[in-house]
Amino acid sequence: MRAARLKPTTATSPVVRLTRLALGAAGVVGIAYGAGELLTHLKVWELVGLLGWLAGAVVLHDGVLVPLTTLAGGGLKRITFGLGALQQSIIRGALLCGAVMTLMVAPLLKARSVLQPGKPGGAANRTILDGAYGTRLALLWLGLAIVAAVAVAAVGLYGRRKVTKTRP
Amino acid sequence: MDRLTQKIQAGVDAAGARFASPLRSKRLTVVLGRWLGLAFTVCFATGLYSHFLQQPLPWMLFLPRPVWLYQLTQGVHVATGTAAIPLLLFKLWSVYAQLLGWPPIRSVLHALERATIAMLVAASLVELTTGLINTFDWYPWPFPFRTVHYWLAWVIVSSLALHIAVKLPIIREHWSRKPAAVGSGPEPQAQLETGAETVTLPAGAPEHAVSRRALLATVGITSAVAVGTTAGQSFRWLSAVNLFAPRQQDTGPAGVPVNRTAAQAGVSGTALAPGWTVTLTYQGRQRSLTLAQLRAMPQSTGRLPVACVDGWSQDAVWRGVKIVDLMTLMGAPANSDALVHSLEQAGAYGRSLLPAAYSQDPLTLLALELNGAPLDLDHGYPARIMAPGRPGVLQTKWVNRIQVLG
Repeated sequence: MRAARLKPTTATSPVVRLTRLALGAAGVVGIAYGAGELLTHLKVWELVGLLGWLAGAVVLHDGVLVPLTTLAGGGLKRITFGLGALQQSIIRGALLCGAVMTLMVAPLLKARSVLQPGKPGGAANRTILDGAYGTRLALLWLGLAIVAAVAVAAVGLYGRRKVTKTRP
Repeated sequence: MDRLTQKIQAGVDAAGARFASPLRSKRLTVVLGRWLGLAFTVCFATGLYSHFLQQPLPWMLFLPRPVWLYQLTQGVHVATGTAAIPLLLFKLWSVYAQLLGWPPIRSVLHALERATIAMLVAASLVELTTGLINTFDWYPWPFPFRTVHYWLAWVIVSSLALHIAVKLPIIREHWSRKPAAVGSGPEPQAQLETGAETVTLPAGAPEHAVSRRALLATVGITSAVAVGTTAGQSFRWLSAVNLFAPRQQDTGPAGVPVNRTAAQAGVSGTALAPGWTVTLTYQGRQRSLTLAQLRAMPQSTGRLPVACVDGWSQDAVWRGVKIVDLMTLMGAPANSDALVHSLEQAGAYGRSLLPAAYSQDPLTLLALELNGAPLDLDHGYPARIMAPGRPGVLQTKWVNRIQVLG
C-alpha cells in the first residue's frame, strides 16, 4: 500500500473498522478460552503459583531490569562522552548483546548446578547440560569486546581520514 | 487535593523524563512489534502442530512424511522462542515510558486496555522464561509446564490480537518510514511519549548517540547470536557454534542424546531381565516374542531423526522389525492403529498410540539396534518404537506390549 492511502482520512474506512472489530472480538473470545481452560486444568495452589510467577515477572522486569539498564546507560554515556555517535552505538550494542546473552545463560548455569549428574536429586542423564557454559560465556564477552574494539578503532581511523579530506 | 495531584503528576513526569529517550518512538515500537508478532505467530503455529501430534482431535490426520517434518517444526519452535526473548525485552523497553503515564487510569476503557496489556506482558515474559528453562529439563515452578505453556499461548496470541486491534491506527500510521526520516539528516523533532501526552522536544536538544537503526541492528544481531549459539542442538550446520544449548549433537550412548534414562523411568531392572518378551495382542489373540525371536525376523534399516519436544534432534540409523510385519504376524490388516505399552507404567511416556498412517509406514520399526549396535539401556533396550515425523515422547522405549486395535 502506498503511503497516500494510509492518510488519516482512511483511518475510519470500513475495512479498517471491520478488521479492528474482528481482531478485537477474536482476541476477547481467545482470552476467555485460554484463561478458562487454565482455571479448569490447574489446581488452586498451581493457579496461585502461576499468578505469583506472572506478577513476579512484571515486577522484576519493570521494577529492576529496565531501571538498571537505564542507570547503566546513563553511566556509559559519561564514560564514552568523547567518542562519536557510531562508536558509542557499537559499544552500547556489544554491551546489550552480552547482557541479554548473560541473562539467557544465567538460568542454564543455575540448572546445571541444580541438576548436576551424580548429585542426590540431580539428573542421572549425562547428555543434557553437559557444556562448560560459564567458560563459553566468558569467551563470548571476550569476542564481543574484541569485535567492538576493532570496530570502534576502525570507525575512528576512517572518520579521521574523512575529516582531513573534507577539511578545506 | 488538587495540589497533591499536581505534585504526584510532577513527580511522575520527572521519573518519565529520566526514562525518556528520543530513541523510544512509535516507529521503533512498530518495527519491533512486527518482528515479535511474527515470532509469536511462528511459535504458536509450530506449538499447535506439536500439541495436536501428541493429543490429536478425532478428525485430525497427521502424515509421517517427510521424516524430518517434526524435527524442523520443533527446532523452529524453540529457535524462534529463543529469538523472541531479545525481541520482547527490546519491544518492552521501547514502550517503557507508557508505564509511567499519568494519570494511570483515564477511563474505564483505558483501565481495561492497561489490564489486557499487563496480562500480555506478564504472560509473554513467563511463557518465554519457562519455555527456555524447560529445555534444560529444570522445572523450578509450582505448576505443570505443558498445561500452562499451551493455554498461556492461547491467552498471549488472543491478547496480541486485541492489542493490535486497539493500536491499529498507530500501527498503520507508522508502518512505513516517515518521508521526513528518509533523508540522511537527523529527524527534525524527536517525540517522547509519556502516556497520554506526546512531549515534543526541539531538534538537537537531547544529544543521544544511538540512532534507531543502530538499535535495530543491535536487536537483530542479539537475536541472531541467541539463535546461532543454541540452534545447533537441532540443526547440524549450526552445531559447530552450539555454545549455549542444553544438548549437543553426537553425544550420549551410540552418539545420540537421551531424554529420559532407564533410571529416571525406573525400568533398569525389568528391561535387563533375561525373561523379557514383547506381547502382541489382536482381537483376543495373544503372542509373546523373545528378543532372539525378534532378531530372527526380517530386519529393516531406516535413517530417522529422534526429535524431542525440547527442540533438540539427532539423525540416527535404526534397525529392527517393521511394525507392519508384526501386524501381519498377528493377522491384522496393515492399516490398523496400535497402542504401544512400555515397561514404564505411569506418565506420558508409559504408552503411545500409533495411528494407522504411522504403523503401516515401512519406516516404522520396533527398533533393536541404533547406529550399528544393540540399543543402549537408556535408548530403550531391548526394543523401542521409531516412527517417522513424531515427537520423541511418542517413540515409546522399553516396549513390552503392542496392542493392535480394531
